[in-house]
Amino acid sequence: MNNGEKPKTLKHFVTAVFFILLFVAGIVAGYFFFTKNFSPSRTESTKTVNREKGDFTFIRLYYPTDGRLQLYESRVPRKDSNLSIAEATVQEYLKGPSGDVSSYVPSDTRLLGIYLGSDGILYIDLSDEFRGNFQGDALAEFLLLRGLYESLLSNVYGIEGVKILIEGKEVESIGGHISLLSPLGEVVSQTMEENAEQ
Amino acid sequence: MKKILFFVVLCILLESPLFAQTEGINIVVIDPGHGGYDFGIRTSKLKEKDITLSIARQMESILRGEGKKVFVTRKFDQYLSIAERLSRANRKSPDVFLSLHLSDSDGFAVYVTWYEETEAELTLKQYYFLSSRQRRYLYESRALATIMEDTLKREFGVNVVHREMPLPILNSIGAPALLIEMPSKGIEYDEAMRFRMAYAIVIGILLYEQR
Repeated sequence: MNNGEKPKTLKHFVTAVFFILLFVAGIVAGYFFFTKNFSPSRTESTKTVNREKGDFTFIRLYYPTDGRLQLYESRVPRKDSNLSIAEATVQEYLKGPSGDVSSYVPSDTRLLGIYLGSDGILYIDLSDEFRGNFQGDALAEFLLLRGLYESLLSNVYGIEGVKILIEGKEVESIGGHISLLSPLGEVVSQTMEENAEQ
Repeated sequence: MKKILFFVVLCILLESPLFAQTEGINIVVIDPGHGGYDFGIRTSKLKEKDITLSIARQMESILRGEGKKVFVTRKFDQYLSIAERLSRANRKSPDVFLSLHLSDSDGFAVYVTWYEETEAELTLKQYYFLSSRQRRYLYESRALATIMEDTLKREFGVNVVHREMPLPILNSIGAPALLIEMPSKGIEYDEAMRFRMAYAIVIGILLYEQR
């Protein structure tokens, strides 16, 4: 009787140990499985890699070319806020179109500051080169300002108008033809008519 | 020789019944564009501010010879804001206003101001921004533009573009008003050319008066 009970107890003990080991192995395997796939540090590094490799966006820029506005696209790093998109748009616009294209964008102009007012007007503070280096007639001045306005409107959400300042001050005009005293929306959003005769 | 011939033709035209004085144009205001630190278009051969002033002074002389009262908004190389130009012009209650500039091409451009909205569609702000002064003279400004374009095309045989655009120098003038851009390319502004240009524009004014 005693001889028959001993092996049975041992068998139960071995079975219990086996299941305990199986349970522990399951927990360990589960721990490694979940830490491998959902680790926060791993997620962060993946995002960094994406940004470095290809997290870019295209902004639309309108430049005066041959008496009208022509659309160009420029590739810039993706921006998070409305204001940083506006800043990138102005920065890119001031570079002028790529290639040997005349665009009337005054050379060496710098963006000194940018601010979105509570009234929806975007204030752009440019360096004096924007006025001093402008070379062009009335149409060129009109299209340069309209191009900047259209570029901002097509990339930045929710702006009501654009007001240009030079060295922090309001100026009447950059080229003596078009008024900058009012926000650009009121000045350049009107259409233009043209008839050419030879 | 061409200058003399042009002058003779002008004299014959002015004596003809076509040019008989009617109620006519008595006061002309000429606005030479740019000035002072505002050079306008610059090339190695010219500065826009000097060309416009020189031609304005020639026009002043010719028109005075025709018995017109003429005022030039700036008589020397000085900077004038658009507001100052408008103030000086409107103070003289002109019958015709011309603002002289250069185009960035080898052709002429004649500008009339442009109102997109109808009177009823204008907000109060837009209304004051655009000013109602030129609105009353828009039809006459267009008529003057047509005659000026024909005259310039006939005299110089180059491209003449008619544009309608919201230009502040024209918006607030209480008279038929044009902004004329003369070619800056393909032309040499020696004394004879400045004289010829001034005469051509004066003929445009006189033809408008006698239409």
